[in-house]
Amino acid sequence: MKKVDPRIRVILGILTVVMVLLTQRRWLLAVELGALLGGLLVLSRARELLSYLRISGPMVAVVVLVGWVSFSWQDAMEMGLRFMALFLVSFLLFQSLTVEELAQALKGLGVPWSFCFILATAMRYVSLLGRKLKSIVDAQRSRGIDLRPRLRNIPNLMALAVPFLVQCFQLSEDLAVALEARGFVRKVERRRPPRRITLWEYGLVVGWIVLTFVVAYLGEAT
Amino acid sequence: MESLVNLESVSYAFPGSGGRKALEKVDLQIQEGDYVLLCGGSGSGKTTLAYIVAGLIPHLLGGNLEGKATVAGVDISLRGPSELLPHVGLVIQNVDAQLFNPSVADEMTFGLQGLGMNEEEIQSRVSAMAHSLGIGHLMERSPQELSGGEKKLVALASIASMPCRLLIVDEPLAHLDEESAKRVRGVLRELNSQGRTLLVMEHRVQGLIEDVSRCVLLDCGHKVYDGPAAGAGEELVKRGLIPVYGERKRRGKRDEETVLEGRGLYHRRDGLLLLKGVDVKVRRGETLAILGPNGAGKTTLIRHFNGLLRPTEGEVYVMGERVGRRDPSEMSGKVGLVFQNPNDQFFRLKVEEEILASPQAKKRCTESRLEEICETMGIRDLLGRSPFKLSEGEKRRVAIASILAMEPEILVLDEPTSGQDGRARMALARTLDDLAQRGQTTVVVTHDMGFAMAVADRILEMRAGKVVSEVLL
Repeated sequence: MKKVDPRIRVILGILTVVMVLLTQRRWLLAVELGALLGGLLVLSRARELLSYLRISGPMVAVVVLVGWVSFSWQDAMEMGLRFMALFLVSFLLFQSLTVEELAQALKGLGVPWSFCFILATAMRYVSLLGRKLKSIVDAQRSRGIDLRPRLRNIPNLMALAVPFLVQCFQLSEDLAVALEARGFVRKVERRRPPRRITLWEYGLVVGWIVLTFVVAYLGEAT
Repeated sequence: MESLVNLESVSYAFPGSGGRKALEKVDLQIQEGDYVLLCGGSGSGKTTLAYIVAGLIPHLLGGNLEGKATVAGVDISLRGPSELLPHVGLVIQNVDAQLFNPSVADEMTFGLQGLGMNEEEIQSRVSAMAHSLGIGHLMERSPQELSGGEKKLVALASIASMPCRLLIVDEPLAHLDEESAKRVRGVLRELNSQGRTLLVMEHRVQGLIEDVSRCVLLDCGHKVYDGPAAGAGEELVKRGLIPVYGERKRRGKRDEETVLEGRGLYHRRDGLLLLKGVDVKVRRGETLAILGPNGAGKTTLIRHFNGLLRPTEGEVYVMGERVGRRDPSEMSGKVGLVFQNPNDQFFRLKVEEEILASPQAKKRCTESRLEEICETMGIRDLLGRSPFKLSEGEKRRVAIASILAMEPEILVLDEPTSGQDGRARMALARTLDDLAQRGQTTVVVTHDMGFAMAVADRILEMRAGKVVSEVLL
């Protein structure tokens, strides 16, 4: 996958999202889900997938529950499968792209450089913010504030939210100062031109578009 | 000869400050090749002055700037920071914000690309600077993976690789241990000897004062000293920027009862052994200092005391009871841990609410006890203020007060002098002495030897996850 140009990977990701959204049949959604899981096995990302499922699992469960209560169990199943497939597509896409590749791909696709840079920078700060949050959690637990996942502790989450938001605002202000002081606004091309897209990569995109149409047609035809 | 930096009667008020001046009629001239130390306590206006010279004020931060300010002949009120970039480079205090690129190599090329240099020239400047600062081996690494000292060096290199005549460095030694601070000081001397003009803001002035050619001292936005570094020592002591710790009060007879004990503690994380068989005992009423460089395992060790971390091997006992799998929130009445960054804990609108925020404090802290804590910590006047708007020293004292309100048997402080000016460090030492007089058991983790000597009854030195020495004072 790493051999494929990042721009092509982004296009394939977007096309796959479109494909999942156009899929009308439950069995086809299940096939897509199976294919996506197969893709994950090929990439050997089982551990990352498990931690990703820990985050997305409850959301999928809520969607299924709402679908079941509001519509029928069949609709709830379909909504759950589609939601899960969309999660897996985004997971696969972000696993196959580094932050830098994503920024370069978006820039190559015509998105303004300043936007790509800010997006990539924001994504790079996710791990730092994670460490900050952990430190806040530890500081509050050390003060006797119970943050264990229990209903009665929900009001205690204020003790996390306030310091975290304050620190996020402080970081964004400092980042603005650093960007300005280091000449971020100077209008200069900052990256080497991207490599040429090869013929087989074009072929891959065309194949994916055809597949998307086939999936959409199968939904209509059956 | 025209000065590289020329400030004439410069005053500045931040937007929304109601006209309160952060700087008042400051005159400052810096010549090419100078190495100037700009010092002063927290809130004295050091960073504000740096932002003016870098052109961030008024162009990015707004506010009301009065007086005349030029850098390399360029009027700052007319030109923004990007136009000053060929002349001025700024390293801000928060290195996590300063280093926003994916790799060290990208950090170093960012500014040069902005100046429109060709690829060959960029590579030549980057490799020369990396070699000069000894960071060639870090080039492919992400800045976020680096240690505090390495981050400071990379931040310096990313600015110094540009052909800026003036380098402004805000608190380069903050949060660094002695070894890293020495390395950063060496790099700054080297850059100055290469002909760079340096303006360094720092309140950890000991040591650095020997390197600089000139010292400028700010107090509450006013310039109160501007002269050769050699003659600044007395003024710095007088204004409390170089801490002079007083005699410790006489302590009572040493109590031999052990209130906290770690036996054979090992801690492994991400395949690294951070603690390697640490044995530690804390006796009732004593002040124990744990000294050591960054990465020695000090913070890892104290996080075992209240159950934030569980040892891979070994046991921790508090008041004779095994900590085991108990939650830190259950341990807070026995072990009160004050974190390095007070901002990690503030979430109330007023200091008084903040002190009484924890359930233990609500239960145990009576009105008279609150009075006593405020008296000891010297924060009576702050009770009605927002904790977010205090100085760094005041924040630290409020953070300690909020832990004391829980009446813990053992008070544990993680790097309490980090980011504190000399006055705040002296005040903290006095407070710890008062607490020791009242029989409070305290553990202080620090890499500040002077502070440890001033407050501790006993010092443990840690290196590479082991206790390597113990000194009884």
